[in-house]
Amino acid sequence: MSKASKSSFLQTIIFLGLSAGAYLLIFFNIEQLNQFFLSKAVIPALCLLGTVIGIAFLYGTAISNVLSILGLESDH
Amino acid sequence: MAGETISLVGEVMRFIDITPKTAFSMAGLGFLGGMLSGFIGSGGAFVMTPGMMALGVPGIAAVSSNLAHKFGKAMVGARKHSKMGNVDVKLGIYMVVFLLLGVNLAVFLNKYIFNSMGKAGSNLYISFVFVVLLSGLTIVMLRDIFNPNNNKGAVKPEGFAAKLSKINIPPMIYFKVANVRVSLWLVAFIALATGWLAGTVGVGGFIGVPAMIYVLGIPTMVAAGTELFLAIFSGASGAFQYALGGFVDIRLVLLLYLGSLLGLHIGANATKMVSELQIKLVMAVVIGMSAVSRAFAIPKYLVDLQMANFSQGVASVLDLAATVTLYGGAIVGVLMIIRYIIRFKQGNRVDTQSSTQSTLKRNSA
Repeated sequence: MSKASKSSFLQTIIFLGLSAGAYLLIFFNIEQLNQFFLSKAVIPALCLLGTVIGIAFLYGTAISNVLSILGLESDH
Repeated sequence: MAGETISLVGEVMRFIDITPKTAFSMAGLGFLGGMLSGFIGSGGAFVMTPGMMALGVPGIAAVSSNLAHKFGKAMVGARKHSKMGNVDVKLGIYMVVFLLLGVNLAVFLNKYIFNSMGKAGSNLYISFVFVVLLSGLTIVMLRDIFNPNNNKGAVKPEGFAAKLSKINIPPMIYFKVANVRVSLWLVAFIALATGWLAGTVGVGGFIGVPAMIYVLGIPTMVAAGTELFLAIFSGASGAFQYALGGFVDIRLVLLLYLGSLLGLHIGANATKMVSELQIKLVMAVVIGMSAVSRAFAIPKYLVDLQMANFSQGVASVLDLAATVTLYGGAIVGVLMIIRYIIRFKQGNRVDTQSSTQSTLKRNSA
């Protein structure tokens, strides 16, 4: 395994781990999080959208890396 | 996992309970929607919003969660697309004002209907908009597929679009990147319609892009690029306002991502292996079946609102037909894509084998 592919593999593992951690954190604390997110105020609404963007970034990057390792890269 | 309860003026909205079966269905729905989205450019919402409604999610929560899901994707992809240089920023800025007006109007209408007529009224309104739009779109696409003249690359506006494009009401504005001079009123009309659709059904680009091409005369790539620029604003504005009203269910958004981001890449890869006609055919099947599905769902909402009198049995059968046609359409679409991929791979293998054989023959000679 070359140095570049090793670092890409490591990056994939890190992003997969981070996204799995984020999913578990959110789903195990959904009651408390929803109490905050659904309180119909500006800050909770912004936090909700920030969380969505964060998850899209983490999981999207992880998936993109996994697919590029498998040779299935796309422009998306 | 328990659903959250939100007190509203007209009705108490309850998010659905997430059981393992629901979670799996939601991720599967995301995969189908994502794959179709990657394959046909946009339109995952055609499957995801009605699919969520078929699983028992209130229409307004389905649209809100889908908008938030789309917004996250758009934000992450924005950096990549800005490098493409296909965005007419001046056109985008003019359009964004009216686009946000359209989104606000749609959110206001959705909230008003939910508050005054409850979940069934909101579901009826969203389903009705889906049926009208998707039926129209399917007819246009089928005409395009079966009209041999249209498959020769000649793109000319026809009928209503051609008449609209001739309107020269001042003020006329010149857009440098797109290299067109058009009436501000046309720009405003298209942006308003796109924004209203984005806020109502969660997707507006399928009207916005063709309108920019045929009515404003903007080159296809610039229209697609500018629409992506606008999608960030419409997604942000719609998702934020629905979130402010407590309608966004983050669990649904996250479950959709599980499947959609994977499907998106696979669908996008598949576009390299198929013809434009095949893409249109898949699109027509999925959108047409989605329209039929929503049409089947309407009687149940009418019964719930006591506006029609069907027996419980008939309403249940129609509801089942709505679910079957929706998932059936999406599954047929995905199977068609997989078939095209397999055919392409087989064709490639045959090509590679024959070229290897001819090289070997040449070398041995």
